[in-house]
Amino acid sequence: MTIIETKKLTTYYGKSRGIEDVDICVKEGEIYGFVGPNGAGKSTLMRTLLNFIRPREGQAFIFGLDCKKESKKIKESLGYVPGEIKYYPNISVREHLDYAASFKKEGSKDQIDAMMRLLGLEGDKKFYQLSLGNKKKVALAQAFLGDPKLLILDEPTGGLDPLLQRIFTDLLLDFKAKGKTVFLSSHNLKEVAHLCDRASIIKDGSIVDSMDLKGMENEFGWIVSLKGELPREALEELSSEVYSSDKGTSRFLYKGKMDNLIRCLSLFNIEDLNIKKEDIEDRFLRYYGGDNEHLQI
Amino acid sequence: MNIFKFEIKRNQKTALLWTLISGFFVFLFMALFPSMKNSGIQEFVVTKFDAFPKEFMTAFGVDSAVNFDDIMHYTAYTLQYIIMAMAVYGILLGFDSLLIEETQGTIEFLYAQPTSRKKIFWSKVLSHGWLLFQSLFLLGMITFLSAVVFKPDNLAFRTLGLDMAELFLGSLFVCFLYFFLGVFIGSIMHTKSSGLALGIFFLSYIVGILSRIKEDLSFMRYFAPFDYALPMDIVRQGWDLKYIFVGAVAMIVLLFSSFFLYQKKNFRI
Repeated sequence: MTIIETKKLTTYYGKSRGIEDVDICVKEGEIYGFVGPNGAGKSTLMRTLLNFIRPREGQAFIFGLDCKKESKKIKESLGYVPGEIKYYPNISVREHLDYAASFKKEGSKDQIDAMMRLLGLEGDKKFYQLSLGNKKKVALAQAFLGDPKLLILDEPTGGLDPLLQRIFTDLLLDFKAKGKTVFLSSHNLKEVAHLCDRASIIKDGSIVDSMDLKGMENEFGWIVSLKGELPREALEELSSEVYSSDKGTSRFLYKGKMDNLIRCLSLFNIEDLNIKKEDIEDRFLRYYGGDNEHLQI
Repeated sequence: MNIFKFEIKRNQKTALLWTLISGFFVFLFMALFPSMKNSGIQEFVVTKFDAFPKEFMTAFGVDSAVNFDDIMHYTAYTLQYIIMAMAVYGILLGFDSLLIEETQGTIEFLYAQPTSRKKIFWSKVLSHGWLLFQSLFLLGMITFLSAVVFKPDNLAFRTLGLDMAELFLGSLFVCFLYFFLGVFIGSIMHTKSSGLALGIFFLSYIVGILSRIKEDLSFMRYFAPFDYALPMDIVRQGWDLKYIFVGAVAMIVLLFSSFFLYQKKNFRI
């Protein structure tokens, strides 16, 4: 079953580009990652899905319902964590959760207590007194209230310490294990690779690649960096793609059996060798080239 | 109802603060009434105020026809400045009602909940409108009770009550007109600007002064909501139905156009 579907979705902020012709399809029970650096359009897509912003063109559906016309009904089964948590500064944690629960049919006091215990939240603290990590926890707690079927998370682990990231990851995997769906944006590629079943890469508001991360494990090759005398013919024979080759150093992508590579390289005078399994980060960097200063790898 | 209650709780303190400060000043001024009455202030007013140009006195809402021996005239004169503060509070409340969540980014919490823009709009407008009504009602009660304490013995309690009610209905009308103006601007803007709200109020106030000073510019009074029901005018001449009609139509138009604009608005967070 399709949970999120967009067709040629285009959003502009006045004359500035938001997203352009975005087509995505998120299926039930999967964790879908939306990857791109800051300003690429990740938050804009999420805000358009949640009807904060009206699309200029195209359509968006969640649970088969039109995001523009049936936003309220969609949100009855949806939890959202924004990228930057700006909640009510003078309202306590408990009041935030009570307020969020008051909108939901199944948001109960017991559920609030359970979430607060799980995340170690102090109910009496005012929001402005919280650290960034604790603010994220409040946002997560309110998103989980009311038994949602879909979570939309915008940079959910940004600013969290490793322990909190672990708790968060466990929560998401547990959520997914119940057959529910997560749509998250991130520029933390390790997180995406670890958590997501599928991912799309967005650049300048448009999707440039979509990939099945779990099924891709076998498709990824090896990135070989070496220093030594590797003849041009051998380089061409071994490599699927040459990244660089200059003054006795070469960097290339190898797809094939590892023993074949070792056997072949052993025939030449190699001074230094580094072999790394290709992953989503490498794929991602292909699209962004040198424009990757915002990425966490 | 949950948004309505939440908004009331969140903004109650500020509303009470405005009311108490305004109420304190009203009480202070009313406390001066007996000494004003007994110290021959009216003779002073007639003698001295007549020396000023008529336009100058009109601009400040006072002239020799103001009878400072009459508690209602005195109250109306005092109240015009207090109501000015409440009208500013009204436009700021109207501004805040739709805009503060967008300015502070909290709309990302609220509108992510299963609720509609329609519900958010009406809850916000009603809750902020209630706060304004509550403030004006309390201010009216403080003014009335102060007047009861300091009124001359020969003035009937009932007459005073009815006159005060009329005065405060006028103030309510003016303040709500500014409130709906604030709501309307809030529905088209993306960032709160108290300076803009104050600017709009004082511009309209100056337009009102000009319309009072120059006969040729009297038509400009339509653009000066504060002058639709000036306390002194209500006490001396009663309601001017022409302005009440225009004001009522303006409130309805502002409210419903705000509603439709808010449904289509792109939230900038």
